[in-house]
Amino acid sequence: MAEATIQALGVALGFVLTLMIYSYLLGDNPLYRLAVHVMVGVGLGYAVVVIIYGVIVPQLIGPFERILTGEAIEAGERIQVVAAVLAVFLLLKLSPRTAPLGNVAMGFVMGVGSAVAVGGAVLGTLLPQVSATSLALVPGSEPSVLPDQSGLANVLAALVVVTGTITSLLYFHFAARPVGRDRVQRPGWIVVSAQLGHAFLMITFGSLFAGALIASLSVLTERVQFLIWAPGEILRLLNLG
Amino acid sequence: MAMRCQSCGSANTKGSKFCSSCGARLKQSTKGRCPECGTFNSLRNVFCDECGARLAPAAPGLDDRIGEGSVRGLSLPRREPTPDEDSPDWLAELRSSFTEPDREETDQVQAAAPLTEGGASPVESPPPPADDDMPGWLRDISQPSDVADTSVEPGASPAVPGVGAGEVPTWLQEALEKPDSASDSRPVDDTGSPHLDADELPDWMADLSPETDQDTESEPGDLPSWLQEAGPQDTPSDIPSAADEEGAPEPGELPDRLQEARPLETPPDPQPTAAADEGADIEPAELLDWLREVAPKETSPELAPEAGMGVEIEPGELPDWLQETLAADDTAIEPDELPDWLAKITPEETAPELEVAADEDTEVEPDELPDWLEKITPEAEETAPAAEDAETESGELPAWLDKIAPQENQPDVPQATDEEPEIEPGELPAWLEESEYDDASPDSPAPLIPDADRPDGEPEKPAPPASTIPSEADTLTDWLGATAPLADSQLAPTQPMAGTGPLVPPELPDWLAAVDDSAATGLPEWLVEDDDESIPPAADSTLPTPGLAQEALPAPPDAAPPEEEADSLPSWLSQTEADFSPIDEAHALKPIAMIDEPSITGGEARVAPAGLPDWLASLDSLAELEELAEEAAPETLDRLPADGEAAPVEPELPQAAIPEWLQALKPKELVDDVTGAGGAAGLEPAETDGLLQGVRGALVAEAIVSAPPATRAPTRLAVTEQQQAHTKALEQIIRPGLAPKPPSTAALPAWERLERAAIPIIVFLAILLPTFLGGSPLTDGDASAVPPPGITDTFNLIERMPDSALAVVAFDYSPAEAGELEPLSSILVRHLMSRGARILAVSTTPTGSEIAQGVFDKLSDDYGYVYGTDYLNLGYVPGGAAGLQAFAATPWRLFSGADYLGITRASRAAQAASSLTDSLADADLILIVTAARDDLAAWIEQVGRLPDMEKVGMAAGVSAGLEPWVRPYYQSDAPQLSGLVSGIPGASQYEFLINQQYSLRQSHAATNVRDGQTVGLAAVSLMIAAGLVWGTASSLIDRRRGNG
Repeated sequence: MAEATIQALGVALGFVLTLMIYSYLLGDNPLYRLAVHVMVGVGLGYAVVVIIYGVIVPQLIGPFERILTGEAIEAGERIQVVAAVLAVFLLLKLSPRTAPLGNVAMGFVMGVGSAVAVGGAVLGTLLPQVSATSLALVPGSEPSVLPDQSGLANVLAALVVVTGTITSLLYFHFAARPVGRDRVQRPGWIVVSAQLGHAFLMITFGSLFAGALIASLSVLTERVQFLIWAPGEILRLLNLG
Repeated sequence: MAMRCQSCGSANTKGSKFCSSCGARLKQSTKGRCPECGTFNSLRNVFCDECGARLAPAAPGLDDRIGEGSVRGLSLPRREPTPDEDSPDWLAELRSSFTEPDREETDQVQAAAPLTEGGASPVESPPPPADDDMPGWLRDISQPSDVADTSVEPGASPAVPGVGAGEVPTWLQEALEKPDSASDSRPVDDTGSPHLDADELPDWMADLSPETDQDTESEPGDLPSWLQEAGPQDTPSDIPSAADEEGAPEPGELPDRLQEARPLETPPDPQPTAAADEGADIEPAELLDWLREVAPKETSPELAPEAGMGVEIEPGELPDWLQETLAADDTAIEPDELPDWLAKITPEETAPELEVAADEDTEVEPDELPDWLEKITPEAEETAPAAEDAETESGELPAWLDKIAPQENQPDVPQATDEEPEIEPGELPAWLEESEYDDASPDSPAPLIPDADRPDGEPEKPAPPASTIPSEADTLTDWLGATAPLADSQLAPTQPMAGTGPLVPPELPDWLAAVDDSAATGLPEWLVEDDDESIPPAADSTLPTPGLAQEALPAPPDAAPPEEEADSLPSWLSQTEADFSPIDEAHALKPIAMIDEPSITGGEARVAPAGLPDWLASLDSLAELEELAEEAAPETLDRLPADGEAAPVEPELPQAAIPEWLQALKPKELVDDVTGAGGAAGLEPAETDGLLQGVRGALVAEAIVSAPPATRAPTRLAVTEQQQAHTKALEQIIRPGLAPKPPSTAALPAWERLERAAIPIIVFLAILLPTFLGGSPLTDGDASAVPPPGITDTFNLIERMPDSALAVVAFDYSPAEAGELEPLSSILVRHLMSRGARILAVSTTPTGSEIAQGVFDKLSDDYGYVYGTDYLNLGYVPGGAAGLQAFAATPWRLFSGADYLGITRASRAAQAASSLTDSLADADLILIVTAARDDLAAWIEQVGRLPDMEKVGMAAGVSAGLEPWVRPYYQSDAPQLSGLVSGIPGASQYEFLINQQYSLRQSHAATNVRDGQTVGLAAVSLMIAAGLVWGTASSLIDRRRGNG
């Protein structure tokens, strides 16, 4: 089968599946469900294939194969043996009897992953962001919040950022003092700060929702344009048009 | 201390019944709830503050519980026994059955109130307690073996001056000298009436008649300490030292309690009445304190002023009961000399009797008559004949007397009904009308001395004269109303008055007959009987007024002369502190019961069937009882003869021992004092709150357990109505999505179906409109777009790359985000290819590699890029953040195998892309195209923070929804992103820059999408606005129509 035909079938399949998905606008129907199941199944199957052929085979089986065949391997590939053993122990988690044997491998994965994630979050996000925001409050610092504005504007902008950050955090401060027998109330300054933080949160969530809406609308636009473009492309690929 | 309302928590003043804030009824801090009225009383209250009902019932088995000892953590907390708890069970039951109308009044008439009960219902009183319930001292009393040597010690106590032979009560003397129950050693005067000798006066009576103490020289210190301590502490101060006083003190000099006990009608200066007796040798100081407390409550207003005055007792100075006795003894009593309170007791019918008595001995001067008697006298003179001729009509008799009337037919009882004054029924007090005599027929009054109660062979006892029976009910005050039954109860069968003939049997109640019956034998019935015999229930009610009962005892035919009776003073009374011998507590209690024993007339040894007297019940603490017990107790009291017979003298009495129940009542502090465990310092703190308030010795564990939990009650957050509404709205939104919803089979309405189809159609048409129009009508083209700093920074970053620079592009998005991010990634790759940069594509998502390959496939041909030489798709980077860190450190180690296309590194060794060194820091640019914040953060945190990555520029093309999250990495003092392009608008603007920079290869892919998106967004906004307008209009229309 010619490549163009395959491409034409692919475009046609995409066209059909897109229509099946949009059929939900008329209500829940088998076509929509079928399209959803196909999308999930194809996506998972594709991921499995990618992992097998992109990770397991080249990075796990390849070194063993080279070792068995006597080919030269790199120094770093020898450690893949340890990773392979840990991977085997992870498979033992599938059975309740052998699950404890996989705890070491699971602990290794979780420990390494957590350490990497926490370290990266602290050193890569938290500290840089805090320092950048605090430095913005220093008049003599380099303006970065509003690079094109003056120092005062940047200080004010940084002040807004700091205020928004603190008040947003205070919004989630739920400690309160008991008032009377069965009522509690947060301190007044926390209540006021929380209200301001609540406003910042609403603005942030509104921005996120707007971005999500625009993103969704962009996808819709791309799909609608695809629906308009697909028939002609199919005909072009099939040399029918 | 404030009380907290349990409804609203507000603090209220202590004692408040209702909350000052919410009006809720407050629970009193005290826990004693009155069973009658529901009022909360202090825990120490024995009687209700509101209604006077008894609160603290007798605690049966309390001694047993306390006797078990206080084992910390196991036993109940020990509480200081209240006076009621000190009492025997049977006495507690009697007390519990008695309800005082008022606490204060109760205190004032403390002695009289119990007598009311006994006097009101002597017949229906509860049966005597069993022998087991009887305290040890009562059992000891009935031991005949202990009596013998009690009467053989006349004047046994030389330390008590003035106490000679007359110190021995006649009843004791009789019991000792004349075992015969029929005998009576009470002296009889010339007329045959028992002579009231002062020597025969018991100590308590001496207190009531101070005149008899004139000759007594004994000092207060002569009293045994246990007697001094037995009485209330305030008694010595309240009662004037009568021994040294001359003349009657002014009323103002009387103690308060005496003034309170004094009747309102009491004349300020009562006239002395006929002396009833002479030679009272006992000084008031020798009197028992408890007698001072008890007896004066009835007679102290009249007696206290005359304390210690003369040898002869003036009639007016005597208490009423004594005056009645004197009257019975043919002692002339001038009516005006009687105290007013006696007027309340003395009925109108009594007046003639008094006059009769006065006819024989004393003439009553009209001027000497008190006011009350003056009021009574004319009527009495008219209605009441002399005692000899007094004839009481049946209808005039009190109800209880009418019920006694049938007893006049008793052969043994003298028939003197015709001599009794008539008593109108209406003259009876309420308590008399409500007495148990109502059960009897008024026409057949019960015999004064029932045959059944009379011992066999016992001679008939003369009934008391009618004059001794109070019938002036209308003149009785309240407090006398309470004491009136007492007076009746004390009107035991008296010896016939001289010249008045035998007493009328109907005048005596049944219970008096029983008393008289026992009196005839020298001992009360309950003592005459076996040890197993129970104590008469009325014993408690006749506690402190023995004289009235004693005066009514008939004179025995062979009464002993007064001189002989003088020796009959109990040895225990004549003993001093130095003479005290160790006596157990049981013996110490005996004088309490024997308080009523000394007879005024000295004729009979009558032990009042009394339990613990009130003074014992009023002891503040058990310590006093202990001290009392440690003091001397009359040895003779436990040697009373049984059945009127003198018990054989026992040379050596068995060593007495403290009963266990009394040992158990011993306070802990006393035990500590004895054992030296701590004494006062070792006292445990008293409870300050709760049911055990005021109780010492409560276990610590109890306090811990009873303490409220330390943890604060769970509080709830203050949730406003608005928040609740939001919560409900959110729940309504979420809940349907959580539960599986079956497909709706019902057809939608046409309007809804049209609406549901119209909206997407409009959106689709709006999106396609720029396509059909060849451009967006809402934009002026690319020229009008002003790229934001992030786009220009990204553009400049690529533009500043050196030739053949190495750019790593991460396609970290899935096909779902491809519609938005593929135009962005395509324009970035286009720019890189335009710059001739080598491109190394990776992806942290499995599907990203395919997307990257698709972008390269579309653009490679346009820019002549060859896979392996100009670009390379390494594929998927597994491991998330850790995989990225490993990829940044050793990129080729991670991709040691084949790449996305299956080309091994060995086969592509000569390719240009392989020029990538061992570190990602060798790259010139890193572009991350993603729609997930975590993916971008992983690149920034794991790759961008590496020390060698500072020189590597890093830019991001993200989805429009991710921009708020990513912008802080770009727009900060130390930006971690050198450029940022977001969404289709950013891609369009970037595309505009490229088209301007590289005009040979124009691209409008992102711009087309942006145009369709802009129109579609405008259409959506318009529909939303239209919906708001439609909804508002519909609401207004509905409101106008009244449907809203």
